[in-house]
Amino acid sequence: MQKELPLIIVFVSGILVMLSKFFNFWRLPELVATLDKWSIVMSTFAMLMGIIELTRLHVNNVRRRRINWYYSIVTLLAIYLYLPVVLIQGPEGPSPKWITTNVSQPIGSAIYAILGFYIVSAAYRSFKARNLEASILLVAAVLLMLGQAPIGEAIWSGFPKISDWILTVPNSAGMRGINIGAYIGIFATSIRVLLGLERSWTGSGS
Amino acid sequence: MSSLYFLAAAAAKAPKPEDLTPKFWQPGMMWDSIFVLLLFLAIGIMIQRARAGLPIPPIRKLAGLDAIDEAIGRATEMGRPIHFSPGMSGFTAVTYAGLAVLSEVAKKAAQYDTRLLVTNRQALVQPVAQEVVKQAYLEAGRPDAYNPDDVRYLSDAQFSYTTAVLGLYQREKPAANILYGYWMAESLILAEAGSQIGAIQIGANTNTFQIHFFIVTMDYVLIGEEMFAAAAYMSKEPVLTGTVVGQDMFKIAIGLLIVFGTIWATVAGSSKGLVDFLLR
Repeated sequence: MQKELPLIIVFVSGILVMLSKFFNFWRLPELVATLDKWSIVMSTFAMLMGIIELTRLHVNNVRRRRINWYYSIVTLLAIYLYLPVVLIQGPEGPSPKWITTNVSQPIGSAIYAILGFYIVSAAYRSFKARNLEASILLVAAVLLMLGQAPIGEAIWSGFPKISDWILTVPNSAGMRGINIGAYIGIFATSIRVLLGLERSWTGSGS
Repeated sequence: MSSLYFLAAAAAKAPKPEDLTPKFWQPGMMWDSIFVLLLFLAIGIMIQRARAGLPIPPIRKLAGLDAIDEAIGRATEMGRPIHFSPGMSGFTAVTYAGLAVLSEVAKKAAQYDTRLLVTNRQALVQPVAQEVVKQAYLEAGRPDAYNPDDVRYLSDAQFSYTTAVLGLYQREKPAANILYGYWMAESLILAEAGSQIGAIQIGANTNTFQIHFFIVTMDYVLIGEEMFAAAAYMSKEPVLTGTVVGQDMFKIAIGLLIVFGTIWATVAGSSKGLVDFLLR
């Protein structure tokens, strides 16, 4: 039953949710709304398990003096000093808001800003005319950059038009084709999981 | 005259055509449900063919999945670990596909006695990933080699997870980096950092806004539906292969519908009539 029970739960709940998207009979919408609430509750419990897991990992790092173990102390302090503050004042309290605005968001923005440098290094490595596909990528990238930057329009007024055409015609066509294939793949995978054909996620083997 | 009066009165009371639409259907979902049934039918037919031992078309070569063996071999030779991540999304079909590949990667890593580091962004996925890896080590006959500390939940926050993985790259220096799931803005950061440490990289992403970052930075990339064929491709199981063939048959039908719609829109000057019909 340990192997069959997760499959039964997935099948029943999956079929109910799928039917609710297409049909409207009996008390199906209310049943699915209840399932949604249950999944939110389970996600919250999963967060609690995540905190326990993080604590276990970083306490082990400190105990065994693994590489950079002192950063684990910083992580543990951050979790267990912030947690009581949020529990007492709530997520919209003055201290949590101050920490979010002055610590979390600037750090997140800084990491996001690193993307600019990584784009340059990735472009330097990859935009080489090694073969036909790479050459097409290089030419398209140069045309797009010239079309998007003001200097491109200053050089020639046609660059923005070419850039727009590349984005709206071949790029859109490619993206839509990939999306159609991906969505059908997602649906087929969901059917495999619902029917119990794909069981690797249960941890019980194939 | 009285019979005509009664006929007109009956016609006035008769239900209008739109009232004949079955009430149990959600508005505008009739054709969607028919297409879903057709997909079920295509997959069902191929599953039955596979179970009956009838020939089914094979899956074409997928370089990204073939390269997983190469990546694990390289990590084993260099004595460095493999890093695997099933992506940023929760329990979606993409994550299931990632966990199927994780199971195969873990089995091979256990067989070759190569360290496997798995990082998770979602707390909900963490216990499942642990169980998948543990089971894979058990099936490979190496339960002693399984280390629960190597399957790590790092953070739910996007860039906290990203910086934690960057730190892992610098400390552990994995020789193989497999990013298999749904990725957002962190895709380029992780892929480029993996490239800078000299890891062989295999990526799969359903996010079409980020897939190009994987293509320019990674050695092998699985695009779109290729990542969902992994379980069938790696296990070579006929029933799973049959489901992939069924989904391809449906894709061909969708392609024909697109061609038909294009011709309709070109001839009629607008596709509004067809769209209105399909949205009934």
